[in-house]
Amino acid sequence: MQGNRYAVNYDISNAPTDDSTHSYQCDLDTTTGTWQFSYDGTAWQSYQDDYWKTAVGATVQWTGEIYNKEDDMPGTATDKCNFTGCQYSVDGVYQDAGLVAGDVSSDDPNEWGAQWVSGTAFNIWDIHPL
Amino acid sequence: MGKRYGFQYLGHPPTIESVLSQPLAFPMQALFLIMQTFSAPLFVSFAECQTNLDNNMNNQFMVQNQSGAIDLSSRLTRLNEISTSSSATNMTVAGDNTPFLARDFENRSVWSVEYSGVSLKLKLANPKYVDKYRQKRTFTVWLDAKTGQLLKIRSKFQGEAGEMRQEPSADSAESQLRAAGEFYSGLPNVSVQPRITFLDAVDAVLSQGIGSPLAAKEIDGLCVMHSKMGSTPRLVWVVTLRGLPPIPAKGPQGDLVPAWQRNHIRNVVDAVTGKCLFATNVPQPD
Repeated sequence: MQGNRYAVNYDISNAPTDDSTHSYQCDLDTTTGTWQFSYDGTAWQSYQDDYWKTAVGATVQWTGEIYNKEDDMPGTATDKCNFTGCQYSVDGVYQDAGLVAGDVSSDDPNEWGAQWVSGTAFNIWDIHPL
Repeated sequence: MGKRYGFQYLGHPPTIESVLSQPLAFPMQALFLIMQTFSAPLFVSFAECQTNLDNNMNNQFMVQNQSGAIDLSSRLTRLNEISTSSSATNMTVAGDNTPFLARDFENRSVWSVEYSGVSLKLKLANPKYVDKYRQKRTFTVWLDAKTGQLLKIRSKFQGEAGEMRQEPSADSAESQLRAAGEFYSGLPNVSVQPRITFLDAVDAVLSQGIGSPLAAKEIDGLCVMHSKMGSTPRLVWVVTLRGLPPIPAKGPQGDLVPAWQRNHIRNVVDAVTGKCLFATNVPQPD
């Protein structure tokens, strides 16, 4: 999170299990400047920063991300990790992301694959899983 | 055992001379008197030993002297295993910056145990790895002078700080932690003690956590009752690595995040199971 201060949270002990499906959501309450993150509908993390009392998110990204380059990105070529139901909200109303093929990319196509599926879905995978 | 942990015996077993100097009528009476005279104090002494050992396990005993402070500190941290010298001084806490606890620590009389000549050796590190900050970190452990309870562990890097900034004030750190849903409810109750040492927790960070302790200029520790997002408080080691190589910042304009906001990480480790729970760079320097 980046407000007046930069914050990251690595939820080391709660990695999703293989082949499981989960829902992730984050919402901003500008009255308190608080981002609320939920995991499968349960509050997971909050982040309060006065910066967000007068600002709103200007961009939205759905990303697969690893910490060490040696770590495996979720998914393999034959069993890709599916991102589905991608939406964002404006004034509390959720709408489809409207993804197009050009929106989906990989930082390093030799390491990680990315594939557009639809306006709300895409796939990612590790090219060389350990 | 008593010597090692600074036990204080309230009485002394009688000497052979004092027993034999009693006027005795029969040998059996002499034996009885010897047994009686010896047995009671010896049993008392054993009971005191056991009680003091139990108390010691709970850290609830008066640290009698410098060597007692060093021994207790070493038992809780194992820092003696990676340092060449240690010393202890008595001091009063003033102006501490521990979030949630600074006010409680203020004006406390503590044993300040310092370990120098440190070369970090971790169980899970490559045995051939040479600590690049060898002899450049000193560790200081604060123990409550009255109870022996561990208050905190600080380290100080003796070299170029670079982008490593001072930690935030207690109020600022507490505010930031609260904003992230974290809360330190206090030091652990005497009945709930860590099952792993500070160095064990650092090892857990190396093997499970975020950021390498071997690459950190400073490594601080705190053993507290911790809760997050309203969870039931649990006993944890909070291990903060400072002066790390900056962690890459992802996302839009991530590369604009200054290095001093990305070169520290705080890992929270379950002090009973040794499991690394999560890691965050909150709180940030002021």
